[in-house]
Amino acid sequence: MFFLSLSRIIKFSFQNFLRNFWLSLVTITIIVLTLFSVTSLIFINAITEKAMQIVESKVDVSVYFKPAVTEEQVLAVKDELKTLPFVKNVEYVTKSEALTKLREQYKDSPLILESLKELDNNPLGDTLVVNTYDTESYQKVIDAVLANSKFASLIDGQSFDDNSYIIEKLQKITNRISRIGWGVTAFFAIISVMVIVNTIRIAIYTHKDEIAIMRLVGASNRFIRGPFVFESIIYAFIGSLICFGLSYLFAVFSDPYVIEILGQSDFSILGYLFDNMLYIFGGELLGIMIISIVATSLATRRYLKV
Amino acid sequence: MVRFKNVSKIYQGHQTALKDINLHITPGEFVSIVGQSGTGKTTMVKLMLAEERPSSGKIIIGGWDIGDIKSREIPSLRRQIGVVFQDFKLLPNKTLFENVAFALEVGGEQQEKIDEIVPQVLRIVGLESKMNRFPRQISGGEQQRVVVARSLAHRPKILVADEPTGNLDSINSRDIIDLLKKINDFGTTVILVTHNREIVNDLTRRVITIENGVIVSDQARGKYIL
Repeated sequence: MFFLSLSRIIKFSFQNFLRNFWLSLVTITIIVLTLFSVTSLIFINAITEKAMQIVESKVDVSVYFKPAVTEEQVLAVKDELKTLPFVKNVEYVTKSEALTKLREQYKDSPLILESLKELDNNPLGDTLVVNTYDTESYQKVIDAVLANSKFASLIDGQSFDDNSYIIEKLQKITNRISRIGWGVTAFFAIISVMVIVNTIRIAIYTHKDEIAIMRLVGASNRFIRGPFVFESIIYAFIGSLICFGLSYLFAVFSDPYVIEILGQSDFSILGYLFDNMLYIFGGELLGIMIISIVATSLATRRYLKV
Repeated sequence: MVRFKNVSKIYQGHQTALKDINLHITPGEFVSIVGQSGTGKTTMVKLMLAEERPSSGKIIIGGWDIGDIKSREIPSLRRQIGVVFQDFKLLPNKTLFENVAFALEVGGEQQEKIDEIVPQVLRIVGLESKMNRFPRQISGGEQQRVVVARSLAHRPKILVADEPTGNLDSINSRDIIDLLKKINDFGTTVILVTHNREIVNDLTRRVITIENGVIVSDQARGKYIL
């Protein structure tokens, strides 16, 4: 009896779906549009976060040593810094490399080049360029170097103070952009829920006379509600599937532009899409199914009161 | 079969639809309930289908007491009563076959049985050849015949017809009444609610007349007296 009823409920839901084709199409279109807008925002957030990561990775802390400091002393500091858990990479730039870089940088400024020639010795000291896993750790690097009295005496003045200001500013911007991005996504998700709930309510409303007839011929509430609930699952499933297809196309077509913006990096929307497929579409499908089932059950309940 | 004992129905706003109704309809009877619009005829039908509950009194249909019936028992009650309405009430997205079959499917009838019964009842109402059409593809008279076929599908003991000819011309009305008589001849109790004088007078069966929610006449072989 249970399986007979279930098979009939499934049969009726497919029948309703096909025979009310335009209503089904409109409902699915709305589901696709709302899901796609949320997915697009997820993509935009991912691109923004990646862009921020790239910018962050370009900012580093340079520890400038006094010209008299020996290579062994610098390497001792380097080894010490490498043991810190938040340090990703430490690059050693010797004073001669630093001078070459400086000359290269100011090759169009004859005045500076002339001044450098006037000096007998290389005025620059060795430098350690430190990258950390996140910008918040830059201050920790500075603190770690200054906390060690043996190292502090080797450092040339306040060489990293200017960077810390930029890092702090960048950190604030990154956090704010990320918060705004996810806030907008959440706002769109709420709008999507409202739109979908109302679309389903309207779809059920168009069937209210049918529901009354079903009741009159002795259909139980479960038998009446069943096909509508299952139909909403079909809507959710097809809507999510189309949204995935659209997102795939979106990723394929926009990846060249994203690479152009971000430069050569390991990030692509298509890669992000596949890496997070379960999380994005699994979550969206589950969410939309729950919303559809709840909205359908509530909407039909209104017409099922005896 | 159908018993009303001191039944009154007062709607919200203190509007009295039925007042102290007493009647007993025995199995196999053909009863016409007549009266002008707004006298409480349709309220009686709603009470019989448990769409409404009596404000006081007792209604017994088959083994059920409508005043105490549980919500989950209502579908079973409705499967025991065939219903024909003025406005046809067919499911627009189902074919004639599917409309009739639906009444059986809701009761969990096996598919083989449905495939056997539905063409039979559609043959009784003369629409077997049109069973794959949709309601919009047939006339009003034909639609009402499908409703009669649907009401017969689960072989109900009682058939309630509420103004079944209200939207039909005289020829189609005659066809429907002939069908109801045929169904009654098979042993089904028929309760016809109408204000069609001509039909009631031609039937020469039991007539219960209601006026302002009160039974004013109950005649074994009655006429339309209002």
